[in-house]
Amino acid sequence: MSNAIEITELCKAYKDFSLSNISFSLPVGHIMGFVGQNGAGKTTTIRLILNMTSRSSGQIKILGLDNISEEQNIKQDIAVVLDDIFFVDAWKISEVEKAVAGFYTKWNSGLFKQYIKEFDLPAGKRVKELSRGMKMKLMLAVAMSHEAKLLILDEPTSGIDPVARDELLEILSAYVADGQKSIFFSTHITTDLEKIADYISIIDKGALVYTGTKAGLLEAYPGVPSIDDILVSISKRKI
Amino acid sequence: MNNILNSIKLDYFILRASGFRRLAIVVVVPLFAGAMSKNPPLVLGLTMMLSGFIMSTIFATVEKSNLNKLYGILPIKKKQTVIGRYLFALIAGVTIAAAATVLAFIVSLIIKVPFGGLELTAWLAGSFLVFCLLVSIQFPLYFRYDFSKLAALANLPYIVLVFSVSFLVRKHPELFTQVVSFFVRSPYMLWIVGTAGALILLSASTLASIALYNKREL
Repeated sequence: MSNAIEITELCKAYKDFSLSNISFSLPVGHIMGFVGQNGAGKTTTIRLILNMTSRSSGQIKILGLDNISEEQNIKQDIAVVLDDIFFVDAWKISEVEKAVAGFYTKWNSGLFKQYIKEFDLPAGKRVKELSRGMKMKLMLAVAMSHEAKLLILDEPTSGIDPVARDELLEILSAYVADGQKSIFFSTHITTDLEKIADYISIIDKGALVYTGTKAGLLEAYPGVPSIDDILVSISKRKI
Repeated sequence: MNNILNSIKLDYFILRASGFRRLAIVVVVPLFAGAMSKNPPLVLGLTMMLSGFIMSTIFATVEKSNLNKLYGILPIKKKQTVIGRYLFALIAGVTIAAAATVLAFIVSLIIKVPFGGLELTAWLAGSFLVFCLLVSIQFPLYFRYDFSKLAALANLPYIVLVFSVSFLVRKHPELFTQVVSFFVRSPYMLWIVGTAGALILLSASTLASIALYNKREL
């Protein structure tokens, strides 16, 4: 198994939006930035990867396994952070662990406590009392405490301040340092990509515009100085 | 099996965060009503009925806290989530029935109105059946649709049911008399009919919920 994610000709049709023929792969041990404007299809693609919504056609393989027939096995090895927290407001941080730990065969309570300490999260506080940056760190602590091989993040940096954003990017870089873990990371903030992504996939209006290495992207669009400018040009269809 | 147990545990944490305070009200109101009306069995009946409604709080919290996303991420099948929730409701129903029986006895001692025998059996079996009926009607609806979209309509089936039974009793009173005299002759049948009816209702409802929840996008 050499790819953490392998998507082939993925399609999903809604009444007012469709995702058409999305194909890309993320090699193990790397970080891929999935970039596009709001409404381009990033979240839909992530929901399809997680089998939270049904696809119209195509194939998705995660860590070499089909994402539908092997869903439960795959989800033991996937960690997910979404743009909004998905724990009960009234739960304390310790209760979050009690509620979800049992689902994961490789849950590491010591590691969870270590992350809580490292991220300066107050264990006695309730979820609703945490700031947006703290909520993001709590989701990360949960995500990284069951020895997942693939970390999927949907717009993790939107709405958090620049300091917290830099901290998050450092955490992500450290996570893949052993070369065995991979990160798939959707965003519309291109500076994040310039800092940590090895691979980039650009989606626009439901279609994939580019997929490949970060260096390859800049080579593919000569004369355009940054990823941000490439995105602007794509959205205006100047390129 | 392990995932079903984890699902029951998760439901416990969800209800604990939102519904336990309401559950306290569910106990206080029947206690007051039973004592004031000098009718101890009312404590049992009211507690079970209000608890049946309170169980839907889980779905309200799931929606309010984006927990459908959590269910989409966890390594659990939709079927296991559904079975776990019904088992949790069954465990809650049995526990609440036991607690409500004790409360009804306490009220009967305080107001010095005897309570027991066939009357206790009838109220216990009937109340448990009502609790399971409430759960069986509400759960499939909330597994398919958002709580906020359906909360106003979810009581409609009960209203229809109450009106249908009232209509039937008025139109064919002999049926009602026959049913009562049957249970007076064979009081043990109250247990059998109550428990079997409750389990049949819950089983049918579980199957419906699995089918409906499988169609739902998380």
